[in-house]
Amino acid sequence: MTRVHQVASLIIIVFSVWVMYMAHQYTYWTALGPGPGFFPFWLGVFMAVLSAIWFVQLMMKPLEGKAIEFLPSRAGIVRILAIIISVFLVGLFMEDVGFSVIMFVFMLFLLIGLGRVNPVVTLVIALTCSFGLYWLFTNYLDVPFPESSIGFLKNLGF
Amino acid sequence: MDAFGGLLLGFSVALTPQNLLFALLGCIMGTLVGVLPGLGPSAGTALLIPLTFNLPATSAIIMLAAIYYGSQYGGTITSVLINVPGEASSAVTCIDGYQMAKNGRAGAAIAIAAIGSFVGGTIGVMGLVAAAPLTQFALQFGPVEFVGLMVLGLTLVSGLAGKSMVKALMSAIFGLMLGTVGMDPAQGSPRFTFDQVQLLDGIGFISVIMGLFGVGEVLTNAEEEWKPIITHKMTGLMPTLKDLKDSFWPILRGTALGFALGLVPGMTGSASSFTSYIIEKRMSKYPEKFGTGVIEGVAGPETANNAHANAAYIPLFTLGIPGSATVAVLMGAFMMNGLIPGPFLFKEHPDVAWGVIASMYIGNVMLLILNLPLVGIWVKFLQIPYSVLFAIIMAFMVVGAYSVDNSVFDIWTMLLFGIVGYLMRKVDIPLAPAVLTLILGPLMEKNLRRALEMSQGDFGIFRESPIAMVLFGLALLVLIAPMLKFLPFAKARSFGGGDTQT
Repeated sequence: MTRVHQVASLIIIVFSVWVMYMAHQYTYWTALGPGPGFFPFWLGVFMAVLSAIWFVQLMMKPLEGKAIEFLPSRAGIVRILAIIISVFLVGLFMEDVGFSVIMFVFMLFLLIGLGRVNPVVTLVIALTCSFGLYWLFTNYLDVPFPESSIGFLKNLGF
Repeated sequence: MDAFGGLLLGFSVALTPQNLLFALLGCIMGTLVGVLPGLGPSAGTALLIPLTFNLPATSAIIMLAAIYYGSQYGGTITSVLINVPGEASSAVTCIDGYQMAKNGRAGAAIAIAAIGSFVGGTIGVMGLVAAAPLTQFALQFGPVEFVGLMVLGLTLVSGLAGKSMVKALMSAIFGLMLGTVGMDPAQGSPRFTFDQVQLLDGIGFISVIMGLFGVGEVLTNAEEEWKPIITHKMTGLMPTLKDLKDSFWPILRGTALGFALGLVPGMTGSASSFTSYIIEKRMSKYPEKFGTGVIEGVAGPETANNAHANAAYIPLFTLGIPGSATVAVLMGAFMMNGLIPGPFLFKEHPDVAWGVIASMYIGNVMLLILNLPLVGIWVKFLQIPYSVLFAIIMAFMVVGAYSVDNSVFDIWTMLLFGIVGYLMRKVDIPLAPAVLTLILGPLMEKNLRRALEMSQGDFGIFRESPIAMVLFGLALLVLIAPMLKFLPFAKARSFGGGDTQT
């Protein structure tokens, strides 16, 4: 577990150095005072120093007790990846397939695929969270959710 | 305008049918957010911001504020009935509240928590009214003093959040880094935008908050099998006369403690409730009975967390500094409506500032009424399995993220920060400081650069302001002095270190 935390601190140090490098591309100082690069550069420095302190703390005093495992069970990893990938795909296809259809499919996947929920309950919730939300947000909250650009779905009013 | 005149104006705004309706809706949704495990007040408030897009600013803020203090009431119900806190500051209520439920006294525990929450919440709002004149002092602040104030706020937040100050500071700096994305506040040149038009206005704070708190929580819960929730039966709703007598002093002490700790930016609601529990146990004639279902163990902490939630608005309204992650979300909502919380709000938009404050009085009455007779209905929501609940939460988060700018880019931003939030939880880095600094970062940089432009780059300008020097001195004290360990709330910090939500 200590090793995982040390790796995390090293990753953050690398990230901080990258922030400093990027900040260096912007003007650090102008005739009036600090430029756009000043603030992020010093944030990168402070972050790198703090991460290094964290690393040293872990070296001097490794984590004690029954620390939780960093990696969850295999089933847990599958569920986590499934949620991440499905949300990514919702974003990817929403503008082509349309909000209502993609959300309907998304809900079916989450409820039946991951939650093993009763099909009737799934259908009711999926319809509410897709077509129901579309109706609510477009009619009452002025949020124009994307409609499908696929011919037959568009003709069906999705 | 004096405080009394302001409050009268506030009531004239808050008592309109429309604003009463939105306060009620906020209380109901807040209680629900508190009741449902896996949806904390920060994510809950951020999630519901899109519902306020079409509302006037005052109604929107009234509803969102009600969601926050409503969630403090709701969190108790799950703590008592299923031994799972709906939100972090109610975690301590599990100790005696759940035992009371096992002894067949769940109703009395929930009722006394509601009464205590009402007293704590109402007195907290009175404190907010009393603090309003402080804004006159804050009006004297220039960029130099604001930098000092923000540095103090950040160190307090980092010093008091989580178990490790190093990690809390890292989280705070991460938030500041995120705040630098977009057009720079002084010259308008793009930074860290990678030619993405969507990033020119900065990273959307709603997507970040929903990701860190909401998606991160769902991913964390996805590690384990989702088990059905077993609730205890509700019996005997009304507390006995002895219960009321035993709870009298714990409620008063909880109010004072929660109010005092709520004023300190970065102090979490859990710190207030855990400290209250420790104090009640120490002052009790029968400390050995704590943990077996003692009503004082419910009354004190539940009062403290509500007094805390209302007092946490004082730094926001008087100084423009959010004291907690949820209040930072609210500050973001103010900004989305073109309002800057702080001393100028009372001067330029007294109807909004006083309207929101007055609505809190009304909201606390509504919550008392909602919580006592409707507790049976809230319990029904607990019977929704998490396998259904997580899907509904995910749907609302996708909708909420998209609605901000009508862009799928925000959905991916939310997802990215969901993964970041999940990983931060895994290595015990607190989330709340990052959210606070994400909101405050651009303001801090703007004031820092403005101050240095005034002095043509000379840092000596900060030494010339006595107020700024005092604020920097206090910040330094917080950073270097482990003396906080001697104070009672230092123990609470170790208990409530996982409170990333409030």
